[in-house]
This record gives sequence, structure tokens and C-alpha cells, in this order.
Amino acid sequence: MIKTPAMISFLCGFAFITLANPQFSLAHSGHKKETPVVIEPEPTGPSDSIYSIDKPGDPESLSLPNGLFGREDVIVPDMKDMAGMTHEGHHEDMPTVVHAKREWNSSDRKGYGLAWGMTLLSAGLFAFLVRKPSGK
Amino acid sequence: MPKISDILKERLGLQLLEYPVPAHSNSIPYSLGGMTAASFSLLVISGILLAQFFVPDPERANSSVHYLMDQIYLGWFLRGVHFWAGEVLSVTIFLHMIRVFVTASYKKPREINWLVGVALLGLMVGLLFTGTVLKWDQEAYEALDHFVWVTGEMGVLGLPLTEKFTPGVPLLTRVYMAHISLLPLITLLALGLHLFYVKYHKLSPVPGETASTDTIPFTDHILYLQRAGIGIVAVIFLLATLIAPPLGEQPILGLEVTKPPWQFVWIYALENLWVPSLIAAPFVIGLGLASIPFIDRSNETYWKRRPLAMALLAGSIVLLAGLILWGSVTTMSHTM
Repeated sequence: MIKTPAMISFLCGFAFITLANPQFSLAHSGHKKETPVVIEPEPTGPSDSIYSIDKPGDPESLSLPNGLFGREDVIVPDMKDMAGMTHEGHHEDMPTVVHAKREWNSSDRKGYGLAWGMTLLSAGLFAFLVRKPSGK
Repeated sequence: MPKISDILKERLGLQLLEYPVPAHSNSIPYSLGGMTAASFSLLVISGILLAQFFVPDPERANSSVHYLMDQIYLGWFLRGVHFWAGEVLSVTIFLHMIRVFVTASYKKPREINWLVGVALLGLMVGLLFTGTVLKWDQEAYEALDHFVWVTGEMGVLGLPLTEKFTPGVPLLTRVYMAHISLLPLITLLALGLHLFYVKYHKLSPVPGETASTDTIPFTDHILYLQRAGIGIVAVIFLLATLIAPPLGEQPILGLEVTKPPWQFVWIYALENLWVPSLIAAPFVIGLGLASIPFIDRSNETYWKRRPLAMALLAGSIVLLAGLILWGSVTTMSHTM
């Protein structure tokens, strides 16, 4: 049989534990409000059309301000003297950001029952195929 | 009276798929590539559906994702499936690469297929990154901001990837185009090439042996992969039903307060040590991976007789895990 170290088994287990736990969100911290945010999409106006004439300097312009993503904008003016401070440090004028994280789905979600149905169906199909002799 | 399966086999030429493959192909380590392909297929299907609801404009991208999650029937599940398929793919592609390394399947005559695999890994990272940006929350904005910094540092080479290259078109829109068309197309072509070379060179023999003696029909292996694929789909569906992927609000431009997803958090840790590692690390890692079959030229394939290679692998895994853990607990302490 295949001679592979137990490392792969360990990694499989580690990966599953890491992925399955919403609280162990390596990339995120903080909290997110629990009530779902209902935001209706804004109606599309003529200025949103890809066919509209883009005027530089116009507030409705599709052009992003020059250097919007440039490094000059990464540090807002009142943060420029913060060298050496942590990014999560407190600052009086700093806007607060609600950190996103993984969270348990509520049963109020639209189609929650159907989602469980599809999950159980796929699990049942998998169980059937596992029990079925190979090559039949 | 011929059976329906025989009629279909004759009409569709399915008997051509009954060529022999090594018996050890029907095992989990040798099916990790198939599992990755199953996740990728699910990503394509769910991605096509998600694209129907997404508005690739910085002003409305985030709200369109919120609308999908909260107002569209099963929209939350669809996004969950796409997200978790990406997470599972990240794990299986990594394990697949480790399996290929451990069994020395990159050695002669399979060097080119290793290179194609490295290219596929790079494409998957690109797809993962662009997908992270599309939800356009604070984390997404900061990810794109870092990318723009990197392209700016690359000078002329990075120009096509900047906003200045296409004035009037938001960079997010171009990221969306890359995510749904350019990168998937190249990935599918590379995947086809990858499978072609697996067929051409045949599956690598069990480590320590020169040729595979026990064989099974390839159709048996397809059934095994089908079973593994359904298992992967079931796991993804379960995770999507239970756990919602993260989604923040519209980003506040100019701030840098979030951390990237775990697949990228190691580079966040490196950036904390030395900012130019944002540029250097991907090149060094890519070059290192690509050079493996040309540095390790011995014929030995059994892992116990390759101590240097195994030490390198173990060291790399420990380093990566350490950086991920460190990146997850540390806070950024530099200004760029």
C-alpha cells in the first residue's frame, strides 16, 4: 500500500477543526451585529450606465479619484504620525469599523429547510455510494 | 436484449475509458486532485449563479451581496457553498501538492506536469484573492489596497494591473472580470493540460517501486472519484448550511484595521516583519516550487530514503503554520 507519513492525516484533521469552528476565525476579530441587514439595491440612474459620458471631476463620475487606492490614502491625514503604533490602537478621530466574522446561520434564513434537505440528500448519496461495491 | 448501459457505452465510446490505471489510484492520497477538481466544479457552478446577483461597482457591490444574503431565497446558501468550496479547495490543493512531493511524483518524466500544477496553484491563489475582494467590505478594500501598492512598486510591469491603465473603469470591475472570466479560462486550460499529462505519463507508481503491477479499469477510478466528489459536496453543503461566511459593511477608505483570510494571513505576518516581502515572498515561493524537480534529480522516490526532502517539507509546513498562527494573533505595527 502507499507509504506516506502520518502528516497528511494530521493535516486533514487540523484543517477540518480549523475550518469547522466559526469562532476560530483566524482572519477576523471583533463582532458583527446579529440582525441581518436589509439593504435594498439603489435604483440605477442614467449616470450609472456604462454608456454615460464620464466627466473627470464630476461627483457622478465613474472614475475613481486619482490615487484612491494609492499609498497616500492608506494612512489618513491624522494617522500619518502614527508610525510605530498598532493599527488597532485607539485614536480619537478614527472611524470605527465593524469587523466581519463567520457566524452560525439562523433558521430564519430563507430556504433554510431546503438547504438542510440538499445537505442530507448529498450525504445520503455519499453513504449509498460508499456502501455500493466498487465497479458496480 | 442488450442492456442500456451497453447501448450507451457503444454509442458514446465509453469503452475507451476502460484503460488500466494503477490500483493504488483508488485511495484518498491519490484522489486529492480529484477532490480539488470537485470543489472547483462546485465553485464554477455556484459562481455562475452568484454572478446573476452581483453588481461589480464599488458603490453597490457590498450592498448587492448583503441583498443576496438577506433577501434572495437560498442566496445565503449559494454564497456559503461558493465560500466553503473555496476553503475546502484551499486545503485539498495543499494536501495534493504535499502528496505529490512525498511520493516524488514530480520526478522524471513528470517535471512539466509539476510546473503546470504550480501554475494551477498560482491561478487558484489569484481566484481566491480576487474573490475575497469582490464582497467589497473593509477586508476586501484593504486586500486590494495592498495589491495596488504591490503593482505600484512593480513599475511598468505592474501598470496593466493598476487603475491608471484603464481610466474610468473602477478597479473592482476589472477584478470581477478577472475572477469570472480571465482566471477561470486560463485555469480550465491549465487543468486540461494537467490531466492530459497525468494520462500521458500515467499515474506515478507506489514510492519505492519502478512500475505499477496491480491495475484497475479507469472507469473504476472514476467511480471512486465520483464517490469522493459527492463526499466533498456533502461536506461543503453542511458547512454552508451551518456557518455563514464573513461579510462586513461598505469599507472606510484609508483605514487598515483588518486581517486577510487565513490563506493569506502568513504574508500579513511576513509584511509585519518586512514590508517588501509582499512582493518578494510570492516570487520566492513560486520560483522555489518550480525549481524542485530540477534540483532534486535523484531517482529515489521512497520518502524514508529522502531525508533532506522530507526535512525541507516538514520545515516549510512548520514555518507556514507558524506564520499563520502568528499572523492571526499579532497586530500590524508598521506604516507603509
